[in-house]
Amino acid sequence: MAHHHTGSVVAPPKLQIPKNFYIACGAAAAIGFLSFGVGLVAVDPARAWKAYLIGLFFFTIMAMSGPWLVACLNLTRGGWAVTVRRIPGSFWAAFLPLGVLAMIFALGGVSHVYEWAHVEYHDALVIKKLSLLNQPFFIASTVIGYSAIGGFGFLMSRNSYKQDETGDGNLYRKNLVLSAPFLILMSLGLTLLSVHYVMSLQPHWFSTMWTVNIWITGVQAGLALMCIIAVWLSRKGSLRPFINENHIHDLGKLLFTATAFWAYIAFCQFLLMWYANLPEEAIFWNTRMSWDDPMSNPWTIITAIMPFAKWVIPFFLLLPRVTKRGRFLIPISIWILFFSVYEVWWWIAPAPVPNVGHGTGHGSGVGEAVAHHGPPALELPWLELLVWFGFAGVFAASIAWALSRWNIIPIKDPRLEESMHFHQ
Amino acid sequence: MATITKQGELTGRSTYIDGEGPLGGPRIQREALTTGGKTYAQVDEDILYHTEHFPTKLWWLAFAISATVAGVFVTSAALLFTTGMGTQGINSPVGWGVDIINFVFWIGIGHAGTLISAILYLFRQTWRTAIARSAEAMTIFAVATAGTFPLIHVGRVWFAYWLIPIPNGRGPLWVNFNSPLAWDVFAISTYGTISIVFWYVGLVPDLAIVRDRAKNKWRKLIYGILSLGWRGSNRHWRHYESTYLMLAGLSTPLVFSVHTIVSFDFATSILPGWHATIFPPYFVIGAIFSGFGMVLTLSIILRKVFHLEDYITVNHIESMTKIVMLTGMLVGFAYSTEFFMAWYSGSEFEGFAFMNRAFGPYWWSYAIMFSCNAFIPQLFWFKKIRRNLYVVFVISLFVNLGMWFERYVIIVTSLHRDFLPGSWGMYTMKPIDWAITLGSFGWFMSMFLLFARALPTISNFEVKMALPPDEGAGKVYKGGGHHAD
Repeated sequence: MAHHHTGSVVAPPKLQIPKNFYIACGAAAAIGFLSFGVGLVAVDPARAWKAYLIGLFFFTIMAMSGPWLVACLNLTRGGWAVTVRRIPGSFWAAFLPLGVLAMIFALGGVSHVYEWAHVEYHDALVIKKLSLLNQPFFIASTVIGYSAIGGFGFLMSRNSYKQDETGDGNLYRKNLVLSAPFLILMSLGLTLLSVHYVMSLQPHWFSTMWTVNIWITGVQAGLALMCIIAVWLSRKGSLRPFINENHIHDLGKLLFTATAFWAYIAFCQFLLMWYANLPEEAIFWNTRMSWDDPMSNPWTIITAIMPFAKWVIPFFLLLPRVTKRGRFLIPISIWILFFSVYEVWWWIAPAPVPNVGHGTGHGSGVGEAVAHHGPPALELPWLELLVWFGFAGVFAASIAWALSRWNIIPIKDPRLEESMHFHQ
Repeated sequence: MATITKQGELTGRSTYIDGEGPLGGPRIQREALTTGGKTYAQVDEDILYHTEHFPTKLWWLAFAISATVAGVFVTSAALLFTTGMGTQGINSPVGWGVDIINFVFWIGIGHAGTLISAILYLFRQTWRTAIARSAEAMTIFAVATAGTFPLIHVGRVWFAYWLIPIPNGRGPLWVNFNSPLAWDVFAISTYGTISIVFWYVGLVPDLAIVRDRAKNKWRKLIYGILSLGWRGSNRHWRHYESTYLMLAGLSTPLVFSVHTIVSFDFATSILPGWHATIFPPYFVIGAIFSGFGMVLTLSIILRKVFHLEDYITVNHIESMTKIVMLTGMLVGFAYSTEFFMAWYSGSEFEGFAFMNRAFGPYWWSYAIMFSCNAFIPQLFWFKKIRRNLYVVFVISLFVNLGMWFERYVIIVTSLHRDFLPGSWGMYTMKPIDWAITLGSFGWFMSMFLLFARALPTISNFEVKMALPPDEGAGKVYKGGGHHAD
């Protein structure tokens, strides 16, 4: 059967990324990191480093979704996705620059952002956690997390790239062998990163659900980006035989699933903490909302928007068949991406920062530390947004490079035919 | 072109042919779903044989044993109702004992069926056709078994209708809508209803096949009524397809909601070991794990006893072992996360609860739970083990055992050490606890055996739809020479 098609199908040319795109990425990166520098010197070092953390963490969890999806497709023998698999298969490329940027944060930013890095905040509870919450361990989990996820992501994509040249069918089996351990290492790495980078911002607070929440937010954002790139690619003439509306539809369904699953996880986490109302758990919510007196905490409105913006609206927009099969997917995906950044900002920005050297930080014990924990200020996030663009430039340039450096579809994948003839 | 695969020829690996891909790469060939080169007529014969013939001696033997054990279940429940709750081992501080353990256990078993028929359907996993029907039946009987335990647990079963919020003569006495125990009533009855509807809708085309083949007047009448006048017209199929897809979409959130709300029974409390935010997805994954364990146990028996090896192939078993391994590791990940967070929280109560689980007086139950659920399924990393039905069968029994002990660990170890040492106690199962636990398996198996006798255990029409048309029409050469390849 395959012989009939061989004559008519031509391998698509490599993707051409215009030079202007890289220039724009470079400009975004320059503006972002320059703003970070200005923030560091002229605004507030703690705020600047938190803005840095928001950009870094958002792009890290979004990049994680790429190797994760590739591994899942490998293990489930997902034939339908072969022609769009290089999109998540390019996300590994972001891990090298992001890993360097994370290392800069681990070395320079930790003391500005985390209370546990300061003796003044070492109350009875924080002292118990110091064997985990210390800078050497923070650096270790950075190394483990970034190298495990990025490294395996690279190895899986490399086997696929090699197959383009050799046509060796055994390479897909090699990827099976890589994919299963990758998922285990990713779970471990992501747990370390989610505890160190975000959960420890409020060191008294804990939640067993936290890693799952971080994972699904990353997957949702990643799928939104994949949808945008896939729709854009499907409009290129040379890719018409390979990517059709059915592939877009399936990516859209996955985005819909991730949206529903995010709502499930976020709601369950909230409900259980609200219901039990234990002080050490409620602290997360008390920082971000005030149940009895909404006006006393400006973050209440930011929190109240979340369920609508992240679930209700995208859920109902993605429910009909037509919105998942073409151009409507782009505005919906942009909406989801925007509110994924919003969520990461909401995790990080309201958390209290150490107030060392500002006159009141010299006491010891719980009372002194709590004195700084008033309702957090809600400021217009101009600095956060500018710094975010810096990371966006780095991320976009990395995956554009990987998408154009190798073929845009795995031309000699054993399931290519299955994917090309994929109908629903 | 089409070739027939024999049972022993399945490898569980797709083969590829070099240079046959559209752009010169290799092209993969997936293995056949059914083996033995069945025609459409043979599929009918094989699958419907046991609904159309007098049961075998083996069936009668199994049914006699199951019904006897079910008798133990009914008798011990009757004894309990007439004598009182003192016949059970529950007491202060362990007020939730074997009834709730069995309730959660059986609800968990009842997850795989709808997962297989709804979620795997949405994911276009065609291998589900061979096991979906029996797994769905298993779901319904497991939910029916689970549903009896809260009734047993309330003690005075004649007041069980108080669980339902209806206008009543008890003054302002209503159920507590803030309580997850009341949510359970809705969650489980919704899940049970939708599961039955989904199962029945899927059965209709098969019931019509049984009706059309019936030679006996009564048989034709009964299956005729059950098949709702199905004639297989274009209109019927169009309605069927959209209804089935719609029900699959509606069932999917229900698979999550049921065990999520069961987990709320524990997690909304402030008891160390119970109050963990990860409980909802962890319970759902555990339920899928145990459900697949039970599907494995049952389908290995079913294919052997009913000679369905060509439909439920070793490849089907292997796919299920992979899901068991994945979910087993996710459950292990949840156990480890709980343990880690108990330390990280810095809460002495949390820390104590988990140290007590692992090293306290009930350490053995924790050891059984952890090894059966997180360690033993690791054997499935080896392909040889995944395809060795004897080993798979034994491991599936360990999965069932481990998941029963998971609920034992959660309920007993968290309750037996109260906040004040003065209120500490131990929990010992009394004879009636054992009788009711073992009896529930007989109750469940009796229903399953009756189902296997009366209804097609495999979705007949879906197997036919998945057959290559040439093979189904018998146009493939089936001479002896071909088989010798």
